[in-house]
Amino acid sequence: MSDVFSLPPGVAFGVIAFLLSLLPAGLFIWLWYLRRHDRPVPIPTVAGAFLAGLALVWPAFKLEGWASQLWQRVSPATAHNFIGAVLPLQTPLDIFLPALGTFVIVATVEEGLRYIVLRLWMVRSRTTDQVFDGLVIGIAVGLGFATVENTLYFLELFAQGSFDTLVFVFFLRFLISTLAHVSFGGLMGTLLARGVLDLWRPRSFYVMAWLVPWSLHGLYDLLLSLDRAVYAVLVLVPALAVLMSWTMRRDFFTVARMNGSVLVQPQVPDTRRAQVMRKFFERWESPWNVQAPWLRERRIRYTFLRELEREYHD
Amino acid sequence: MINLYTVVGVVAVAVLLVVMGLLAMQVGGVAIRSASLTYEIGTLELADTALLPGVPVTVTVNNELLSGGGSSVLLLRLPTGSVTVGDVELGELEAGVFRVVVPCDSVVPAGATGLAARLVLVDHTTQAVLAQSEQLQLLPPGPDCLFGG
Repeated sequence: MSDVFSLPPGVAFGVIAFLLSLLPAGLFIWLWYLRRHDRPVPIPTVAGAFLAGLALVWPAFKLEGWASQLWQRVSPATAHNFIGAVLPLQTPLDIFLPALGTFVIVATVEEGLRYIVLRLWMVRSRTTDQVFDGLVIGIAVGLGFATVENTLYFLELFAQGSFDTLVFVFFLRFLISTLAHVSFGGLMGTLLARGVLDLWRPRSFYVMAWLVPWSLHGLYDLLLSLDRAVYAVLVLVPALAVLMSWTMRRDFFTVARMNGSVLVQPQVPDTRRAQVMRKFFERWESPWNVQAPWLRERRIRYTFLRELEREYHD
Repeated sequence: MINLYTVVGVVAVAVLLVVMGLLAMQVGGVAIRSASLTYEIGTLELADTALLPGVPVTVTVNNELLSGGGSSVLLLRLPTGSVTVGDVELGELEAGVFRVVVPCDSVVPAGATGLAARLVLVDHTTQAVLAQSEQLQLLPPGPDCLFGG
């Protein structure tokens, strides 16, 4: 009974890496999701989006791998540009070829897969009825992707035996990469939700939902591959600023879909606070003005105030 | 309307990102894009970050994939162009250590000091990049070049 259960080192490090990768994901879910008390996206929906993000890594890496092999076969002399430029830069081609790798291969594959999944999700979902839900789901998908990517990166560093900088690089990369995927996923999710929940001009939102994250992702990766990490993270600043400002937009919280159908006129969400208020004011309801809400509200208000006054004078 | 907390939050995140970016540039290694790589570039390690033309330096190759290839050429890559340092034989690659001498002539332009450079190992036949060093500082030719030592 005293036998200690032990895992093979590879599996143990994989588990540790995965758990560590979940740290930033947990932080962002707490920041973006749990702080929202009224009408949150159901937990199974967020968990499903996170799992979808996890699952996207495999096809993305397969496709990128095939593209890289093809490049190697077609032009071995330039194939290294897929993983970054050889420095110092000498000609404009030294920027153009890595840009081909980042924009045409990496950004297209990763954002393309995310776009397909999110668009199908948004169109078919019955729980996504606010634009803000799209932001939460997009972020959850991005976090899932970043979690697996970070885990694999950790294992790769470990296999290389780079122990001296392992922890430091690991955490830096964790934060930067996670923030990047949060930005790209959040922007895409919000813009797609706007497209799906907009009856009048959805196409422009669909186009933006693809173009904005794709161009940001390509530029971010290109700057990283040119060893310009500072500029790469600066690309993320406006994206995160926009996401943070979107959390304050009240129109993103209006209910734009009901029972799977987009509403012509979005409704103000029925929050928990509003439900409590309604329950509280029920006692002053009277049957004679049921069909006239404006009269009913006025009557309730006056009755309530009269009772308050009476209580105050007593 | 923009909330004060949003502004403070955005500024805080921006500062955090810039600090992380600066740290990442100092530490290095963060530039590796993803774990999906099928193409691997090895690393060339030198004892010093400064290269003095005419003085032999020991280079350590850190890539197991290289031992399976053919012979290769070591180039000194400068912003202005690349200079051939010498051939590296298969045996040297398999040993993982070889010595090279950066040529004295026409490497550093007259008056230029502290030029940023990297050593790049390129396959002889395909011209594919096999390995590269971290950024080095190329010094002006030293006494070994001037006095033929």
